[in-house]
Amino acid sequence: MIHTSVAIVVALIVDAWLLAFVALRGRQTWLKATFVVLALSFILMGAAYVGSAEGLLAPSWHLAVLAALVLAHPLTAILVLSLIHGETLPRRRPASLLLLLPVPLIAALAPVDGWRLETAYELNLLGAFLVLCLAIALAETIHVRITSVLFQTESFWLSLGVVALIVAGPVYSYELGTLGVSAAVGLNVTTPVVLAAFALVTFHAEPFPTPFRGHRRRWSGASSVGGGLVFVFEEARPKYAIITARSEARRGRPVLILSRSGGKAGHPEDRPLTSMIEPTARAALRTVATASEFLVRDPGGIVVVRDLADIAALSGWPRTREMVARLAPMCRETNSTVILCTSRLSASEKEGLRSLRYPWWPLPDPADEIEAILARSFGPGAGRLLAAFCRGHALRRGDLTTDHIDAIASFLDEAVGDLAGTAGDAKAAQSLREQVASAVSALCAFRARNPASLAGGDWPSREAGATDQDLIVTAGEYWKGKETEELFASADALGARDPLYDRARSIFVEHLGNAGEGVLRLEIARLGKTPEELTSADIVRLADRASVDLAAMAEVIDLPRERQRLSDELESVRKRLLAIAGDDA
Amino acid sequence: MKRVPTHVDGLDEVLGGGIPAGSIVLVSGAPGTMKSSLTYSILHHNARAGTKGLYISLEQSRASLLDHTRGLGYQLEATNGNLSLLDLAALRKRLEGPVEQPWMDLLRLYAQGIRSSFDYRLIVLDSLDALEILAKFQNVRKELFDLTRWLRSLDVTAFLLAELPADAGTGASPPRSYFAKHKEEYLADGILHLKMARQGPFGMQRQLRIVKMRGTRHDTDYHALVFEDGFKITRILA
Repeated sequence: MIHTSVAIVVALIVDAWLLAFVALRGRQTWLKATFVVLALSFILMGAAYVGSAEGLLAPSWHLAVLAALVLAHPLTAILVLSLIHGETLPRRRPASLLLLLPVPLIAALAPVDGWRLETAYELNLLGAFLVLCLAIALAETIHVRITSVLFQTESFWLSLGVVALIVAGPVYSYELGTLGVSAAVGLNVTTPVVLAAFALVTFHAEPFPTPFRGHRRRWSGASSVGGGLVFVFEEARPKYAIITARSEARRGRPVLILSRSGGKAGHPEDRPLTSMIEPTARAALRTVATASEFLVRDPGGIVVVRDLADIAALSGWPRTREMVARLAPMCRETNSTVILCTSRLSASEKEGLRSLRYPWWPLPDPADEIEAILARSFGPGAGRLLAAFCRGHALRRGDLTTDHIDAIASFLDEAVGDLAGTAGDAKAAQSLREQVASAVSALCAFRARNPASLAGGDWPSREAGATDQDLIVTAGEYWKGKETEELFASADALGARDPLYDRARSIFVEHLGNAGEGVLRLEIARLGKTPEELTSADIVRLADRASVDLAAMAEVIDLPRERQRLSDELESVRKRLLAIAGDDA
Repeated sequence: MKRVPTHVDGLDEVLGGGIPAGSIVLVSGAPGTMKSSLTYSILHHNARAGTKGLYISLEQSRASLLDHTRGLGYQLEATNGNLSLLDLAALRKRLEGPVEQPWMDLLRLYAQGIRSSFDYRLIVLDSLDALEILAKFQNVRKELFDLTRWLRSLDVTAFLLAELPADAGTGASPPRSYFAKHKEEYLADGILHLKMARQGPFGMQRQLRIVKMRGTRHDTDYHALVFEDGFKITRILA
């Protein structure tokens, strides 16, 4: 075997390994398909060349080598464009696929015009086409290197791959031609370098692990946030972004939430897809890839970038800003929506984001608004009521959202009921009931408002006279003051009563959905107790049982990922039960 | 209309290509009429063709079901991970206790949780009767209405297995109420009725009838249901 053949066989082995690696590990359908076809072209080209050179294949195979060479060139250009523009390339720049059109024409003309591998890069139609393809790829990599900070590193690797192809292709052929050596003209031993560089960029721009669904039709239906736009939700905590995501998911709209904490963003009943932003310097690039893959599969969907500040911290603001700018055309082309949260962004980063001129919605913290609404009915004691509610439900004030309004209403009803039962003053109780009903009605009206309506800034906390505390305290009639004070005391008592069961229930429901309460009652009954009799020791026993008895809930599933997810939920239940037992002790 | 092939020789022809995708199909019949085997076979063949399926067993354990289906020649390994068996029968034993168990909620928890990582398009619930007993349906028709509504929201093709008494439907022309206990036939889009029919003085034959299939022109005759290297239906010879 001649030395050239040995070198090409080694290159073929590396090419095949890279092909298998990308085919098995790649997550982006279009990129993977393009890479695989390109690698196959290189392999076919090399294998046919070695076969012909070693006399294993008939000389007519040179046409196959030539066809593979011709196909590889437009594919190189298309792959480079795809790596830069992502999965949406066929949608955004379908003209780039026209590069494939001349391939059959050239393959047909090759025998007529006597084109051979050795003369592939000469001054003729074939050579011009091949050089044009390489020039497009090189120009795009140079352009992206100059204009993009997001692709700064990747553009180097792309340039390396294309330059290697040019040096070992037309340049080397020209040199051999000048030296009068024609035996090795046309073959390309740098294909492993080219494929390795492209594979590296493929994995740099890999989407975050996400359980993507199959390709679906474009979603169309009523929505609270319009399609084709990027919205910025200005909130201290990303609450409305998640509320919007869940409410859109309930309408059947495909939703993807990108966050640092990953996959526990929703109850099983209304769970949007979630993806965890991995702590890597390429987080911005991978976020674009994740959103792109999701929107290609589910056009018309919503991507919520909950932790934009984390991406800025990982990749730097310039890259994050470009990432955001790249999401906008993606949105327009797929009639999808992207929601960005400004939570924890610095003032300069917010200014940078504002300069992109996307719809900017300042949104309130639901906890503040709930307190403001309660203050209208209960004056300065509203904070105390809310604190009692949070204590009774093992919540931090910062965690309160409009999803808790039903629970607050029920808590207030219960507090008034208890007060009526002990105070024995029917008039006072009736008056308080009316106050509670009015507050609940206002809370429900507030919950019904969507982010678009709140973005106008007419929030309960900003309304004039909403917290007319002095009036309530000084001018209120005797009974009114007495009633509210008693209500606060009743709420305090309610917040402190039977907290263990309520807290355990909220943990079970949070992790297991509606089934959680039933499972908790079953476990309590197995302890021979009732919910009212629960003690800290029982909670510890419940936690122990959760790791043994409830583990069976995960064991019945034969899908490793789902089994692990449920196991994680149950482990979280166990840890949180131990935590509340510790707090109570 | 997109259809889900049953891969039962002869049945797809009668159904015009298969069951309309997204339908809720009641598969009812007496014990021994191969309801479970037939629906497992549909899931198995579709899984081999790349369509994911979830089989929820409330009665038979996974080991027993796999043993049974392997005996019929259906190897789970051949489905390339496209078929999942949810063994709620095992959970039933672990959750037995003095108070009512939240079976409907658990069913939703599993079915919807699994959907997030395993995008199944077919689901079999084996069986409706076991669910009714476990979940202690108070108002059966309302609970079944809720169940079918929830199944529709999953956007899957669902097969609900329902047990009928051994002597049900043995008359020449069985009344409709024989196909379901609680008039769930009105909630289902399709009904496949399976029965054992007497053949001569000693023989018995399994028979299948498409009682109802919305969006499909089909005959309503009974067909012989035969298992020979797979299910097939044939015309009944006198």
